[in-house]
Amino acid sequence: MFKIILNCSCQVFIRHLVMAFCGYKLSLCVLLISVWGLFQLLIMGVFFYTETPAFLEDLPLEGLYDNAGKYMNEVHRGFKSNAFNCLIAACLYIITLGVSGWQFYLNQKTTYQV
Amino acid sequence: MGSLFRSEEMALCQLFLQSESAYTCVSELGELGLVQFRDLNPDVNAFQRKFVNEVRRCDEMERKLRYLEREIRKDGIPVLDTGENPEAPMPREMIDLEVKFEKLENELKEVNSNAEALKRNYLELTELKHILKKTQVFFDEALYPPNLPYDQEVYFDDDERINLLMDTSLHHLMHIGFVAGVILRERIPAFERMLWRACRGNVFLRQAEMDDPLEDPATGEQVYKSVFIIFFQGDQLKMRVKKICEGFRATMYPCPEAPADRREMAMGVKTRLDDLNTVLSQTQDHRHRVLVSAARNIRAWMMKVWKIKSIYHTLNMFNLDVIQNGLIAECWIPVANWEDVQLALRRGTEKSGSLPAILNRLSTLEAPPTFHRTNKFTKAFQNLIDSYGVATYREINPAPFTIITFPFLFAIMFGDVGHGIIMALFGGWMVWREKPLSAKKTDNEIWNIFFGGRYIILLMGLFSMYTGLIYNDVFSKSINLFGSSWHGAYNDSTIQQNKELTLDPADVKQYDQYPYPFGLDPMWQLSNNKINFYNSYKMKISIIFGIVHMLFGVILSVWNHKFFNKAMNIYCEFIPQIIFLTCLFVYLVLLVFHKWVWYGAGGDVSTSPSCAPSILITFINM
Repeated sequence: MFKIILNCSCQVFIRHLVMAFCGYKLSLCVLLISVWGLFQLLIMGVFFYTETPAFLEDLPLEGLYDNAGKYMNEVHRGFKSNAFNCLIAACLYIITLGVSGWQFYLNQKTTYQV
Repeated sequence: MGSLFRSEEMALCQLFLQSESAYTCVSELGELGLVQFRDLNPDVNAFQRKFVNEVRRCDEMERKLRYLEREIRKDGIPVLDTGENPEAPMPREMIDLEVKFEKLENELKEVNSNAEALKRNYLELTELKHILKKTQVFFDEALYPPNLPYDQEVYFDDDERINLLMDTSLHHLMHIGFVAGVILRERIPAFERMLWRACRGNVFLRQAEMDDPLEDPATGEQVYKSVFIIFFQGDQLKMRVKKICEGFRATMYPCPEAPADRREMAMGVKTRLDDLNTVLSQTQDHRHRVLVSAARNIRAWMMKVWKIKSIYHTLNMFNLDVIQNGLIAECWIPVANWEDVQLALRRGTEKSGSLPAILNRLSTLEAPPTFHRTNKFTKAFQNLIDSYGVATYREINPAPFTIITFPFLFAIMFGDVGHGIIMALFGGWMVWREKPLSAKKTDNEIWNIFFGGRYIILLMGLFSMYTGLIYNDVFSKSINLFGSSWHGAYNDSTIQQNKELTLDPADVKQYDQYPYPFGLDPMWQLSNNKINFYNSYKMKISIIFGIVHMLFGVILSVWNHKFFNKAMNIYCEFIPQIIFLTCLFVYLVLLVFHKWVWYGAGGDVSTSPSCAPSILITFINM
């Protein structure tokens, strides 16, 4: 009898897993934000990697340096680290894109069923 | 055909309609949508007009349709909107519609009241079921009360252990009556307290909560109730208990004493509940079927009723001509649409088969209404202009110029390529998906505002992309398309020892002596005095654009004066305006251009930037 109870609760749990835990509006919102986040962070990652001067102000630099060599090293390092940060954030957005896209698809399915 | 440049020429006309053809003619004119009727009975009360009965009947039909729509929406049935435009039905068909709606409304009302009665019955039976279940426990305790001493037992009426020779008075004392019922959970504490006080602690209340909430048939909401049973002795207490139960609106149920009877009753209740369930579900199905069949036609019916009502409302504005048994109407029609109106009238008289209607043009000194012929693109801009004030009759319409100047001035303020692309894409998507989006018909006001202005948003986005390229702004970062004209030609020791360095435009090594080909040089985004330069430059450009715009508006008034043949206005209004504008603001613009051209780096000290005079001081000093 114990096994029967366990089986029933498992089925309920699995059915819940395929159910939508976000509503229609939330999943659409997160989907759009993820798409834009992915797009923007990919482009920013590429720009940081190719060391565009426009992003010079966004680097984590200190105010004063002793010589030019140290400063240039810091600049190159700052660019690389920011580039990787952007690309990692883009990967996180891929995950949210996947989750919200799946939720959105589930919500679409339930609205078509009458 | 008219154009958007001026408003249309309007003519005041008098319309003679025969009584039989009045309805159909007005229906045809309504479909045409080019006629504005004047109210010839402004002093007449709404209830004294000729067709007040028909309008009242239409109101009744509308009320019934609204009731149907509310019921349909309550059940969540989607209303089908095919986008069809049914014509106004003839007056004799109105009776058919009335009968149909009356039948539907009565049917629905009957179904609803039946469902309510059934639900009430269901509720009572459910409560009874719960009572029978819970009171089992109570009776067991009453039969074998935990606190009674060993040798005393509770006797019931048919208890075989009653000794024939025993004192029956003792037996009567032992006889306990009870009342079982159901009450709202919130009322239990007050109920208990009242019972205790009123019966001086001589009644015994047991209560148990019901786990599932029950549906209240009147309001439809779920309420929690409790089962109670009150034990008492004697008739006085019985009356008192019953009165208190009624006061607290507890429903009492006859509960049999013997367990066998109770079990039988429980069985009976169960079967009756099952039956009721079936009947209830069938009632709901029937109601659903009725509503679904109504939902298919309800839009078309609504439109028909609206059209009938508006036709009679218009007919109420006409005057009755007793001599020729007809109706007289006065209306404004655009002169260019004279033939179309005649055609519509002919169609209307053909449909009803009577004498043709007569359309006479009247001359009047009154100011005609302003009518602009717009299409879906120009409509939004015309609405924008009308919100500032509708143009006077036959004046030059500001709307065609607004199509360009409004998005352009917006773009001057917006000026970013990236955000401009997003805006243009949003506007473009709305324009591309125009037909399916306009068929949706939502109530959301914000969306309707955006959708109504889709062409404006598209144009604003496109112009913003252009000004964004000129300001060299892509998401607030500049892009270097052509190669900057500035170069940092300092040696390493100077760079290392100075916090800030200035690039001198006179120096050939630092500035290429020719500017960046299109837009602002990307070097500016890295400079510290970027704001100083940008502010002054953008402000001067805005002043130039504003003054050109104002001058343009004033010059347009010449066409208005010439059209209305008011030569005096040109001398007394236009010329002084131009003199004022030119002497003050065009002079300012000329000062700006002169300063830009004459003063610069490289060359004589008197024309260097350090000697450039302030425009504001020069302007004020005159």
